[in-house]
Order: sequence, then structure tokens, then C-alpha cells
Amino acid sequence: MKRSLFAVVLIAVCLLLCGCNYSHEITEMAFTVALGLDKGEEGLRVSIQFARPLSIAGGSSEGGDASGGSSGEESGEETAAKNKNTTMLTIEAEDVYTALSIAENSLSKQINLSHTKLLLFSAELAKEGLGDYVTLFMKDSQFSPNTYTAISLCSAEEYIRTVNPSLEINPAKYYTLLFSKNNSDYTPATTLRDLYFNISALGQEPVLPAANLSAEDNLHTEDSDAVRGDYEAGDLSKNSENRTDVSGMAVLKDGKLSQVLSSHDAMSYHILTGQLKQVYLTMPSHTQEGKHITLRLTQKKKCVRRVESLGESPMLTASVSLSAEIVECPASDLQALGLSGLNQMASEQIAAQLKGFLELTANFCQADVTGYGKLAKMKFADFPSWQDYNWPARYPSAQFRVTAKVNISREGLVNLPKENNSP
Amino acid sequence: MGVWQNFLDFHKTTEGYILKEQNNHLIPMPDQNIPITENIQENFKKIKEFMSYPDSGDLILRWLKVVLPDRTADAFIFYFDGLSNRDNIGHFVLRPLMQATAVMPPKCGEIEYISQQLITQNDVTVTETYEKAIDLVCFGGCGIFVDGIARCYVADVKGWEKRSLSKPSTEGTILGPQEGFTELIRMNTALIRKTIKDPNLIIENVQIGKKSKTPCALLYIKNLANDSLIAEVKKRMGQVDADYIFTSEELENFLEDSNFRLVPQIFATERVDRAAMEICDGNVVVMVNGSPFALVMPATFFTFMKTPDNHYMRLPYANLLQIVRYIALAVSVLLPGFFIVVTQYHHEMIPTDLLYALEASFEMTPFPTIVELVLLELSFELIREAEIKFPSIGGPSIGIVGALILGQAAVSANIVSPIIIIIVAFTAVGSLSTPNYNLGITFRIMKFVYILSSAVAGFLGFTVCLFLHLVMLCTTKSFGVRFFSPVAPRTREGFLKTIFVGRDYKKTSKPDYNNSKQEPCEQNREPSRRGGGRRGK
Amino acid sequence: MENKIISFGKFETASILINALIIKVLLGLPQLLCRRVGSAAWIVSLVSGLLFLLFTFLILKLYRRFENKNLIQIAEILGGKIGKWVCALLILLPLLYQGSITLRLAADTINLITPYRIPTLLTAVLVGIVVIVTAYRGVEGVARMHALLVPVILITSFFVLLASVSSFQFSNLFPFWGLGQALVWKESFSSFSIYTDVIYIFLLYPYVKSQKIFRRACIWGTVLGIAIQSMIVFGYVLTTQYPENASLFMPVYQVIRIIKLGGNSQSIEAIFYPVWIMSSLLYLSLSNNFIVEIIGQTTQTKYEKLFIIPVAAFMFFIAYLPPSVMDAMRISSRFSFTLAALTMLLPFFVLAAASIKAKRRQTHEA
Repeated sequence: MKRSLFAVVLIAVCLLLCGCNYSHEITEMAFTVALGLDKGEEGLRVSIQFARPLSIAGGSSEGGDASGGSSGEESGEETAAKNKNTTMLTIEAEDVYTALSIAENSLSKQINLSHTKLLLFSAELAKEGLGDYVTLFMKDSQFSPNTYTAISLCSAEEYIRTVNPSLEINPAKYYTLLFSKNNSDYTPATTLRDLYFNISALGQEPVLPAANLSAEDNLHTEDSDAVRGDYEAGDLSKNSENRTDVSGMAVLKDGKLSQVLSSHDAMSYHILTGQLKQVYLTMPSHTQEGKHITLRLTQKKKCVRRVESLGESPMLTASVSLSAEIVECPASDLQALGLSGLNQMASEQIAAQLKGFLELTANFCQADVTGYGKLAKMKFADFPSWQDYNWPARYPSAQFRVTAKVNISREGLVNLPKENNSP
Repeated sequence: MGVWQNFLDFHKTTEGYILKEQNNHLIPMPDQNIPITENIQENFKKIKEFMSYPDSGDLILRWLKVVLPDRTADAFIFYFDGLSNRDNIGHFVLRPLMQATAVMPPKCGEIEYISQQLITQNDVTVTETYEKAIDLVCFGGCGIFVDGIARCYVADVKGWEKRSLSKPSTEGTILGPQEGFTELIRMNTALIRKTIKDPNLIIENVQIGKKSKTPCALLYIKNLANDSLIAEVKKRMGQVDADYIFTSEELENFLEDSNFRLVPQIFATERVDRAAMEICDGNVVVMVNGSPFALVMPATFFTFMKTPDNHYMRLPYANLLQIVRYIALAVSVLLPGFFIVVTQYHHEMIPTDLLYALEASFEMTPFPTIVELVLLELSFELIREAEIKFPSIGGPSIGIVGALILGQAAVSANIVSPIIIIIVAFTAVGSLSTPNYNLGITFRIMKFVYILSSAVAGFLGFTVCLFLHLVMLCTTKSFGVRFFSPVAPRTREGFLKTIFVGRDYKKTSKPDYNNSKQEPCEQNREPSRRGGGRRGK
Repeated sequence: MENKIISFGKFETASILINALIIKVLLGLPQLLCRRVGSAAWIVSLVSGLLFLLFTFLILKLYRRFENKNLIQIAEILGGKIGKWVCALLILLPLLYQGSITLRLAADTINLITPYRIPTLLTAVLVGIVVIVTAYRGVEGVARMHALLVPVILITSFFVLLASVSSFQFSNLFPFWGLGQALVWKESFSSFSIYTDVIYIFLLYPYVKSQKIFRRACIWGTVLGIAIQSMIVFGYVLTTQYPENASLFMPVYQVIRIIKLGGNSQSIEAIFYPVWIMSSLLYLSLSNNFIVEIIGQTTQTKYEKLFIIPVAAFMFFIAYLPPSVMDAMRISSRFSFTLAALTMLLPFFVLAAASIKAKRRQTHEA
């Protein structure tokens, strides 16, 4: 009994000696929402966006002054007035963690990176290579591998500063919803984990969503592609409080930014990788000029992709099956073409688009973004022979055969007349 | 002036009082275990000496003349006023003795004549020593000495005031019987006897306490309970070396395996049906006169977690509520520690929206989270204790005051944050939902240990504390049965049925961790595939 | 030994074996196998597991003649006191080694993966406290704890596997033979260092109720342990791809980090901490218990509990000899094969020789 009591007292003393030195109150932490990396003049320019919980949770409102970095004051007050739920700090330093420690030194709270939702790399920095940064972030237990990543065509600092969510109070929610892309297929959703595994994999090159700022007077009415929904980030014709734009995708090759592709290319990427949720296909009307046929496409079955043959020029095939619903179609077109005609028209357009996209990735980007390499890998018995084959060098010379089958299964809530029964 | 003077004089006399040391505590008490003599005067003198007459004002000594066939003898009775039923003494003791009209059969001695033909009370004990007679009179008997007879006749005429049967105060249920034990041991054993109408039910009388001589009863079913268990219980009761024991709770301290373990090792119940179920499961029950709680042994964790509701409700509801109780117990002990871990060390576990809300609420409060939590937990414990001690009229006021102070005022004054109130409230509700009061207290104390260990080392400290706690529980025994039977050690029979509620309509299978005997009728029954019979551990 | 008072059933014995196998997985077995054979790590895990199962069957067959005897007692039958001492020393080596390595790795990895940095020494002290207290409660307490906690660990592992299904990519299994077919077969046969903890089988026997229960427990424990081990390795290979998965420290933890439960839910890797800590505490407590017991049995002293703190202190000392955890892992991999061979071959030879001797004695008497 005495021994037990002695042991209990000893344990209690040991524990009490430690105290609570290693605990951190939530109120002692500054939680980052987004982290932007730019190429600085002499090193790296790190932009850190912190959340202001008191403002977000509806607590006492603080003054709207944003603690900006060394640039960007021209919209300081305006942005602060709009964006009082966050505050931003930009530091230029040799590397990321030096910047973070300098930032921590200038803040009253300790930086906590565990709730970072977005890692934004500038295009300039991406051209030099992202492999080291990705490995760095993956090594840190604070960063979640499910943090979203993106490439900013303008500077990351400017993008983050300009972000002005109008439908959310919580900036973290804004980034999560925007970059997870649950309801749009014009941009890929890439997490840190995807980036880490694909950046050095032989079988697939990573793609990241492209972010940019839209100029206020950017109304490209003469750009028929942009009007049809095929545009790169920043080229969108829109007028909005939030000038930021995320659209299209940036392709990396060997960890470096290779090309920036448009939103329709991103759509093709989603179709080929089986991640398509819902997209609208607009085709010109055959019978009436200025009218359109619009179909809502969904992918019920994953795209069947095969590597038919290897060798110097691999033969790669894709067979896509999409389900469609008529959203808009002049009655004359339906009468002229019929459902089968519409199906064929849509199928041909989709097939052409997909083939064009694949050839673009092979010839222009020279990067296998859809992951044909992973299928090709299955044909090899062991890793050394796969490595010897050198898939990234073979992919640019690949040939593609794409078949698409669009099946219009519904006409919507209002059935279109088969004959011309106009009143 | 007179009154004041009296007061001053009184104060002077009390001022100099010193509590002196008692030097005569070793004076031996007179030996009462001596044979009774035939001389009535001698007996009278002895009884006055042993019973401290006339110092004990409630002892009644009454002389009478007993009519015997060939003589009229002097006699006296003695009993305690208030302990015995005067009417029964008058009707069944005095009148037959004084107005004896019975005829003494041939070859029958006077001793048997008086006890078997004169005294008409239904329970008469003939004793040969003073000690036995005095013991019985002290428990509500009426002692009779007759001149020329070296015996004392003690009629059982108990008649003191007692509480009538009422609902159990600590183990309420919605369905099922609402009878609870009372302080009178015979009434309690009668309740058990009427519930278990098995002739093999044994109710052994045992006396505990050298001076208090408190009657106890040991209840078990002869052909069900393990013999070594019964022997062990008797052995431990025999080893109780105390002068005064008045309640079963005090006896529990003597009987349990270890007083310093974190959990109780004997289950105390106020319910008749629960005690009966435990007896029918092969356990042993001990009752103590003066306490409405019966002690059941052995007791495992699942004994404490079960409630009679399990048997009175439909199966799905009973199982659902059982799961709720397990969750409640876990919440009552682990939630505060887990909260500390998450808010002090593992911020990445908190959803971002909630994190911002928490930070906004914590921003305004002056104390660290740990301090707030401990303060509120302590406050809640104070309120609970106050509510128990306070009279029932004022009890609800304490609750209202506590809720107002803790809930509303403290939050409005930014002394504590609302989330801490929620955590403390959930913890409290969890501990109140624990079926057994003793077990609930144990875990209420342990939660502070969890809070401390979580505060020191986060999840590591929390897990280490949990591990040590479980080790202690796993190695706790109750009369040879491990606390977590039948989970650890895993026994074959009734594993799931013990943790949850099984489809045991016929109540044929008993838990096997107490190694109870098989009933004779079950020996002929083939064991079912799913284990309807009992197998050894 | 108080065999009459303490006795385990099938469940406890199997749980002990399962935990001894699971802790290897949690310590980094998937990463180690991926580094050795690439994407064929699951094949190595499965094949070596099956080989180990065969070995278990063989050992159990040899054990038939020696009911309720541990290896030291059998060595005593074989070689008298000298045999007993030699066997005890040879068993103590792997136990001490494994215990020290696990202690060091447990303390350091807990520190590494937790976002807060408490000193390694504090972690080690807390672990040490638990080990010492559990040792004082006896082997029974540890065994009951295994029965209680191993199902929780298993359920968590299954949950992790299920939750990570959405991240599975079957192309990660290819190339099928990883770094080469020959290498895969070679590693399958030489991966016995994974099963060093088979030594527990030989120390548990006196506590098990009967031979039949012991056989069943060993077989079930081995089968389940290997199945879970292989499933976790398989899941790891499916979730991550070679060559990146060869460099991920704490592979199971990495898989949990990747799990996304959807919506605004945050990371759940903190559930790994209690599982990992519990598993390592169970393992270390058992090691300490058995070391103390072996010393007590060999020296035939009644005061074996006095050895608890010195043994724990000695394990700490050995654990903290390497200057860093990377050095500790390097040393571990250097000696693991030797010790694994010792752990496998020693019981085999002792049992075989003792069986032959017993059989000869029997025929001689006949």
C-alpha cells in the first residue's frame, strides 16, 4: 500500500513538473487559410493569409486594416473593407520556413498551418520546378495531404489579396468549395497528395487548376471560344465583385510548368479520367442560324482506356460513354435530326474534342496528364523494364483513337414536339 | 441581574472543563456466557448487573407468578420498551403463564411444559446461558425466568416502528416491480423468499459486530452457487473484527478484495427483483439489518452496467439503451480529457468552422481552457453534493441557482466560454446516466486524472492514463472473478448476452464466470448449438 | 509460476500474437517492403506469412510432447541447468533487442508525428511508467489488456482500410513483380525478421489452459495476424505508388492522413495516435514481463518483481544508445536477420532435440 502510494505520488510529481508547457491554447494560434509562393527578387516571396475568427464567428469587429506586405497598398483599404475576415502577410526570404519563422516573429500568435486550405504557386515559380516545395510540404506533419493546390498565372500574393468571397463568411470554406470543384468540370481538383505522387511518377504528369485575376473591363465579346465557355483563367468575360477566376488547368512536366490549358481541355481531362460530374455541351443549330442545341452531359460509366500496343509509338484508345439530357433544342432540329441524329452529332463533337485534347497533351505539352502511363505500366513485369521503356519520352509520339457515344436519355420536364405544332 | 449572574456562574463551571483521559478502558466486562441458575433471585441480580438496570431506563422488569401443575413459582420477565410488542407480551406470554389452564402430560418436565404448552407465542427459544438470552432480548425478544428452572425462555415479540415498503430511491425503473428493501432484515429476506419460491434457497443467519451483534443474512441457492464462493464469503464475514457495524455499506468495506481499488467490487442494490436475479444467477447476496441495500458478490463491470430495465423492455429497446449507457459512461470519464487534447494539442482534428467559433468564444475569457474546465467541473460537483444534502424542498433551488450562476451569468460575464459549459453538461449527464452510483462516483473522480494527464502530454498522456486505468480494472478481482469478465478473460458462454441483452426468455443460461453449479434438470437437457447450457470458464 | 491462478484462453493468446504482428506493420513494415521489392510488397508479405504459418504448424507439432512447458523448461529437460541458462540467454537477446528498438521507435515516432513537440525523454518516461506499472500487475494484466484492446486496434485498422478505399488505384499494384521476380522470391524467404516475435509462443504456453486451446490460439492468431498484416500492406501499396511509398515514414499514418471523409471534416490522423501508443505499450509491457519472468525462472528466485525496474532501466539504456532514431533503425536492420534466424531456429532445434530425447527415453523404458 505504501509502495503504491509512493508510486502514485512519484508519477503525479513527474507529471506536474512537466506542467502544461507543451500545450497551446487556440487563442495563441494564428490559423493560416492560404499560402502563396512567388519568385522574389532575391529569394522566395511567401504570402500567408490568416483567418480572423472573431470576425468570422461574428465577434467584435476589429479595424479593417490589413497587415499587408511590401506591396499592394492600392487596394488595401478597399480589400480590407471587403475582406475583414482575413488578414495577410507577405515575407520575402530564402525559403519557405525561414519566411514562416520571420512571419511568426512579427506576429503576436504562433502560426498554425494545419488548417491551410490552399497552396498557391505562381506560374513563374512553377516554371522553375515545384518538386522540392511539394516534398517539403509533404514532409511537414502540419500540412494535410488533402490541401488543395493551384497555380496562379498572376502573382500568388495578388491573387490571395484580391480574393473576396461574396457568398461565404468563412474564407476556408470558400477555398474548399472553390477548389474541390464539386459542381464544375472546368478545372481539376488537385491536392498536395496528388501532386506529390504524380510529380515524380513515370505514369502520369500532374495538372493543377489555373487561377488568375480578371480585368474589370475584360469583356471579350469577339472571342467566340470564351463565349462558348472555352477560356483560360483570366480571360473570362464577367463582371463581378470577386475579380478572381479559377479556370482551365496548368500542366506540369518533370515538376515544371509546361503549358496552361483552357476550361474545355479541363473538361476533356475529366471525361477521360472518369471524373466528369456534369457539363453542358453547346452545338450550333443545323436549321436555324443563331440558335443552339444544348445538352447536359453526365458520365455514368468510366471511360474505358486501353494501351493497344507499346513500342516506339504507343497506340492508345479511349471509349467514352456519356448520358445526355436535352436542355435546349429548336424543334426543327429535333425534327430534322431526330434523337439518333443528335446523339451522333454530340458523339462526333465529343470524340473530336477528346482526340484534340489528347493530341494537344502529346504534341504540345508532351505530358501524359490522363494517366495512360499507369495502364502501360501494367504490361510490364517489373519496374526496371518499365523504367527502361521511358514512357515520358514515348508519349509524345503516341497515336490516339477515341470513340464517344452520347446517349440522350431524357428531354427534361417539357417534352419537345416531334412535329411542328406551333400555335 | 439574577439571570445574568446565573449565566456567568454556569460559564465559570464550564470554562475549566478538561476532557480527561479514560484510564479504565481496560476494565474487563463481566462474563455473560455463564449458565443460568435455578435461583430466581440470583438470576434477577445477574440480569440487573448485565443489563445495567436501573441505568437503562427502557428495560422493563416485571415480576409474576407462574402457575405450574404442582406449584406456583415466582418468575420475572424482562424486555425493552419500544423494541417489543406489548400486546403480544400480554396475550401470548403473561396471560398463559399467569392463568395457566393446560394439563401437564405424563413424563413431561417443567421446562418443556412451559415452552411447549404454556407460552403461546409462535417463536420461543430456550437458552441455557445469560449471554444468549440477553442477545435475543436486545433484538426485540421478551425473556422469562422461572424459579427452580435453570433456563431462560425468550419469546420473539419484535414490535418496533419500521418503514413500510417503498420504491427504491436509487434504482428507479419505468417498468417492472417497484419494491425496495427496507431496514428490517426479516422483511427483506421475506421479500426474497416470496420472489424465489425455491426450497433450495438458503438464508443463513450470521452475526456481525462484537458489540453491535448486527444480524445479517447470507442468501444463495444451494444447488447453484459455487461452494468455494459461499465458503469465502462466510470466511470473510467471520474475519470481520469490528465492534459496531450497522449498515451493509460498512460491511462492504470489510468484504471487498481491496478498499483502494478504483472501482467497487461488490454490487449494492436496493431492488428486490435485482437481488433475486443475482441469486438465481448463482451469486451470493448478503443483507444487513438496518440497511436497505443488499450486497451481491461477485460483481463485474457488466453487473454494474446492467439495469433491471434490460429484462422488462423489449429486446431492441433494451439493447439500444444499454449501448447508450456504455456511451454515457465513456463520455462521463473521457470527454473532458478528450476536449483538452483536441483544443490544446491537436487543433487539426477540429473542423475549421468549429475552430473559428471556438477561438472566438475563448478569446474573451481570462482563464486557460484547462483552468476553466477544472473550475466548472468542481463547481458542478459542489452543486451535486449540495443537492443531495439539502432538504428536498430546497433541492430544486440549488439546481436553479447552479444553472443560473454557471450557465448564464458566468458566460455573460465572459468568465467561462459556452463550449466549456456544454462539455461539463454532457459529462454530468453521462455520469448521471451511469446505472450504478458507486461506479459513477469512481469515474467522476477519474475524469480529473484524465484532465490532468491530457493537459500534460496531449494524446500521449490521455492514452497512457487510459491504458493504466484499464490495467488496474483488468487486474481487479471480486471474489476471484475478474472485473471485466466475460470480456477479459473471455469466457465462452454468454459473452454477448452479458454485454448486451440476449434472447434468454427461459433464463436457462447463467453467466459462467462465477462457476456456478448446473441445475439438476439441466444435466439431462442437451446443450443447444448456440450454448443454451452452461460450460465452465 | 502460479499456473493454477493465471490461465489464458484462446482469445488472449491469439490477441497477443496478433498484436506482435500488427506492431511491425505500424512501425513501418509496408515502407520497408516497398523499398525492398517495390509494388510487389504485398506478395512478399503474403508469401512470407504463409511460410511462417507453415513454420508455426511445424513448431506446434513438435510441441505435442511438452504440454504446459515453456522453452526454458524444455531446454532444462534437454540439457539440464546449462541448457536452461543457455536457452534463457539466447531468448533474452531478441526480447531485449526488440523491446529496446520498439521503445526507441515508439517514443521518437510519437514525437515526430504529433504536431506538438514534447521532449522525447518525457515520452519515454511516460512509456516507462506504464511498462513498470503493468509489469507489477503481472502477465495476467497484460494478457487481459490484449483481449480488451486488440479488437479495438483491429477495428480501427479495418476502418482505416475501408476509408481509404476511395484512394485505391489498382495501377499501383503494377508492375506485378515490383523490382524483379527473383528479388521478390528471395525477399519472401528472407523476410523472417518480421516474425521475430514468434518467441512469445514459446513463453505463453504454461499459461494457456490446454494444448488444444494453445494450438487453436496459435493458429488463429497467426492466420489473423498475417491476414491483417497483408491487408494493410496491400492497402498501402494500392493507396500510394512506388517509388514514393518507399520513402514515406510511418506508412499507416500516411494512409490515414490521406483519408478524406468529405465535406468540411478535418484530418483524422489523430486516431492513429492512441492505436499506435496502445499497441506499443502492450508490446513493451509484455516484453518486460517476459524478460522478468525468464530471469526469475532461470535464477529460480521468488523475488522476480525486484527485477522489473532494473530491466526497464536497462531497456531504456539500450534504446537510447544510438544517437538518433535513424541510427537505431539502421542498427535494427543490420541485426534483424541474425536475431530472426536465432528466434526461429533455436526453438526448432531445442524442440526437435528434446522430442528425440523424449522419444528415445520412451522406447528405452518400453
